[in-house]
Amino acid sequence: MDNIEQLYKQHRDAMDRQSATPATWEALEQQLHPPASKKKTLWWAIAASLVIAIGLAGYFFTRTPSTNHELSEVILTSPQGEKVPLSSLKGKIVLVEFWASWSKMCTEENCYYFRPLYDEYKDKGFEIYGISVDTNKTQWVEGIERDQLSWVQVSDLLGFDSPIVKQSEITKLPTTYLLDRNGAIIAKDVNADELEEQLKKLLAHTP
Amino acid sequence: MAIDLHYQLIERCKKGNRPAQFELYSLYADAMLNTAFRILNDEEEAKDALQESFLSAFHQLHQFKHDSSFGAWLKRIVVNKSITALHRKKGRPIVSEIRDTPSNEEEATREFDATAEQAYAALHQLPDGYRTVFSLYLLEGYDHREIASILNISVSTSISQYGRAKKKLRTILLKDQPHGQHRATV
Repeated sequence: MDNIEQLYKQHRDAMDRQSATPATWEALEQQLHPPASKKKTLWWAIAASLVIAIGLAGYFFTRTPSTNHELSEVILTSPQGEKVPLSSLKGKIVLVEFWASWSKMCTEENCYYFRPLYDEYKDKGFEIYGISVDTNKTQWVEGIERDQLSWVQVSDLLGFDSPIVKQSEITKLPTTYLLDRNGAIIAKDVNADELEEQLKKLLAHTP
Repeated sequence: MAIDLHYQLIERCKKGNRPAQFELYSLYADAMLNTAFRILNDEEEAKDALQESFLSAFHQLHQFKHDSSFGAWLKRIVVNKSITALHRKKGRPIVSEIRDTPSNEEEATREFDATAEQAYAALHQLPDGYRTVFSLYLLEGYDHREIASILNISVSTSISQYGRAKKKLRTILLKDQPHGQHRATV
């Protein structure tokens, strides 16, 4: 092997400069699963709005301060084998994040967006409930260490077959839900700026 | 066994399972995008080729019988799509089948070093034909017989293009070396 070959073999991985973006997946997904015809979609939208409206009305009418049924009960296990109910975080602003150790997009968002925000707001009443869709415990734990994730980490290691993942209809990673102090969903898939804005607003007055 | 690595995942994708498709995509998208980019030398065109490749991979997935690794199977689709796109853009074959005198290798004796940055920049300064043959051979691991069939050229043309690509890279990289003080062989 000559000098040039050695050089390029040596730098093979370091020369990979391109990374796929969520947009490239979304464009592909559109073509793989084209949305239903417009008319059909409209009917579904109307039906869905009605269901949501009825649900919301019911929610507000039946809501009493003593109940915490807003929190859909999720109880998953930490790497240490401890059961962590999502409801145990009640009283805090919680970001529920579905992620996987093998997803580069998750690593990127965790390291560049969520970790700095977590470090800044964790003592002010913010918590992240990281639900991993990994199926291999070793990879999961290595991912947590590699990305230095110090927030709550749980999984049932069933991957995309996990009931909670199916129930939440996760089609991309990461998917996030922002919950208020009562566990009600405020927003889905917040970006870093929106999240910081929400945290500033929601954590301004500690109860 | 490496071949069985994503067996279950691929089987779920064959049934059109959306989360499984996303998982498979996430595993391979970056590597495949870089392969496409080395051939096309254009970010947007590489992304288009990536999308086209995955689309046809998912559509042809029932033909994948796990007799090779999925990565190799997918990469071949990406390479073919990228080369088709490059041909379409150029409007002519990227490597012309002209028999030329073999390139001399005398400069090969001169030792030098370069950073990943310099190596990357030099690779992307190469003409399309050189860059493609060089990448397919050294970085993607195809042999000259396979490259010849991918590019529809003769094996000897693939070999000579590869030699020329290396020579050109050496010329480009030597220009970046500090004057007269190329690395002494330690």
